[in-house]
Amino acid sequence: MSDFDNIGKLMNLPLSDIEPGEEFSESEFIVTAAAEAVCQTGGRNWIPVIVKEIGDYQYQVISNHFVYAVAQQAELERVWCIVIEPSEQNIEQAKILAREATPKVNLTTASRETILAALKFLIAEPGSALKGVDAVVASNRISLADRKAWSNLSPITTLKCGITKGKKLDALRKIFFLSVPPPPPPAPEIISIKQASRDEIVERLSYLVTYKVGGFEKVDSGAAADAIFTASKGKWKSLNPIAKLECGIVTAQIKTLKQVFKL
Amino acid sequence: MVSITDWDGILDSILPNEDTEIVIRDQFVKPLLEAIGFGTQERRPEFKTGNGSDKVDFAARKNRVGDIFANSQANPYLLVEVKARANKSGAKINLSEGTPQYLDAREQLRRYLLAPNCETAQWGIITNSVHIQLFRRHGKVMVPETACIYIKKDNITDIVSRIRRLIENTPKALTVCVYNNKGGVGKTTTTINLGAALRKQKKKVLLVDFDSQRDLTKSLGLDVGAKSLFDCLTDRNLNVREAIQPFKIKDRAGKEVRIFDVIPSDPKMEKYTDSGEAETIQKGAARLRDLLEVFNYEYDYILIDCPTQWLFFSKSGVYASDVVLIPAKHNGLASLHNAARVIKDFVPEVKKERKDGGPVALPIFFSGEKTTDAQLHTANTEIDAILKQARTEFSFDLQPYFWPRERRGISDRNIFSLPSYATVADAAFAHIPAVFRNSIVAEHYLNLAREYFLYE
Repeated sequence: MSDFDNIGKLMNLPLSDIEPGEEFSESEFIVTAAAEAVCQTGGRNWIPVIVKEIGDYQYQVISNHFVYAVAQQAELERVWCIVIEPSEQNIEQAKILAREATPKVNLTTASRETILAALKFLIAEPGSALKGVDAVVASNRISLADRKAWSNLSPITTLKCGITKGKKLDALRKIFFLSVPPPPPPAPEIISIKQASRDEIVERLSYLVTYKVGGFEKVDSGAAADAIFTASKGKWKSLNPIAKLECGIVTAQIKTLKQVFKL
Repeated sequence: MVSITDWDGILDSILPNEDTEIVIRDQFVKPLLEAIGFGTQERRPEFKTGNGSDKVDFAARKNRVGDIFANSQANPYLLVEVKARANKSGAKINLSEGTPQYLDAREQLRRYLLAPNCETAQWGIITNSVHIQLFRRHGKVMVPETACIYIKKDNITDIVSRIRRLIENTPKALTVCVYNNKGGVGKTTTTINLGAALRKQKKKVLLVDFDSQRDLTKSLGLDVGAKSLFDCLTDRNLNVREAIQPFKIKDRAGKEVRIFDVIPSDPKMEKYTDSGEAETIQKGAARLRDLLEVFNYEYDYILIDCPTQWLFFSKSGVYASDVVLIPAKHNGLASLHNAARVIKDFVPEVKKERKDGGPVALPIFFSGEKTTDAQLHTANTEIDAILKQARTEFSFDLQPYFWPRERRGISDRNIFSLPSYATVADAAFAHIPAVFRNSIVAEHYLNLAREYFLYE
């Protein structure tokens, strides 16, 4: 904000300089009646339109679209506006404050209380697809689930909390999003399990454990590496005997092992 | 070594209208902390609570080997919120109980105690060197452990040694009396299932059935133990521990698991009122509190189930407790009026007798009844009338007890509710708390425990 720009200031701008923002609809009755109310009080809108500058002497509506629609209806020559610093976050904030956007919740990290409050909000909305869902039970179960591993919201449907695929799950997307975990770094080079040192085995198993590849997150990499390293592997014709070492790795996981080991 | 603090000199040295908080901190609170056992290296001014930019005036904790609190500033044990004696315009800051300044300071302390960096804090003090009050924090609950005391030269030494004694022996338990003067609001069901939900969170729980109707005892399938609680009330030579009955259920493998302990109700209690036994109980309704005191260092929660009438049994239960949990029904307007009586009349009556600041009422909750929007509207209209009447006729602000979420600028009249489930009623016949029979019920009682008691 300075003496040489309009940011943060309440400005009385020519209506013709302001472009509409996103599509906005409201009942004809409400808009006409509001326009009348403005005209009857001297044609000054006491609630400003929120705009951003899109060029010299050119503006676009960010928020309070209703007031802009009323100004159009009332055929005002000039309209009172606040010009905001047009960062994405500021625009989002203005929309949230004007109740034109719903705040979003990161489900990867949200607390149980936040999830509960958000679910209660969604369930209470008129015509909510989530009607009948028990917010207490659902928030308990979602908060206890391993959300860090989720890449989308579908695992919620397996929690037996009344939220099923389709409309109910879609309704959650209005508020909840997940922070996408960064892609795992490339796997260590494939080496021969017969010749690998203990450290090399640990390194490869730790990779699978850390990045939760193929259900390895429950494997104790140190103990499994010890078991594999000390086993006599001379007669092995495949990696399958590893499943018989009782080191926490089962037959179904042998395939995953092949990403980092060969015979 | 305990050095004698010159309190007369300290109190004389502070101006009656001292308006600079820092003077109170230096001249009064520092010697106070010293006297209750926290040296220079064991306290930290302007301690960051971790909640936004909040800072509490002092945090303190005993040093441990290799962990000097003044340096590590981690895991405080005691917080002190200090006020000046007057504000800059010269108006007195009156911290006597019930004033707006007192309520603000108390809320401030509560916020600090529940802040992320203060998870380990068990005690809190508010003072402006004119008044002082000590609070204990248990989970989410903050209970007074002394009255709000007016400091004088002839009581300051006693106050200091009392505070020191209390904070050096922090009780483990929170004693909760489940009470409403109206019947049929789910007191017994709440006591049993709240106890079960707390047990599931690994808390050690004792239930006390202090109702001669014996509903709690019967629905858990128990009977009087080697000694009855009622006998212990009259005979001071009996060991109250012998009144305890363990409540066990079988796990999936058929092995018996101890869930919680129960002090069952005695059929003799029924005769209490007409048998003239009242005269044999010394200290009357204050006796139960003395009797249960030994359990304060053994259990995490002591839950007392009381009958409805405001007579010996209920008075005893409320007198013995730190907090009173009040179930009500949205469709039972009488339960709302009676809840208001408990908060406005009965709890203060007991508080006056106890002289240690307790007990305190918790906000009411609705227990297990299907409700329609229309009923909820009727209930809220009735509550509005109850609040107005209490305000105008008794200058008593009931709002925090009915609509605790109501704030300036935003109306939130939600009252915590437990939904109703047929299984809850059925469970009594099976002698197993519903919480152990149905996972949905369990989650709702866990929610109740979290709303009022558990700190997460």
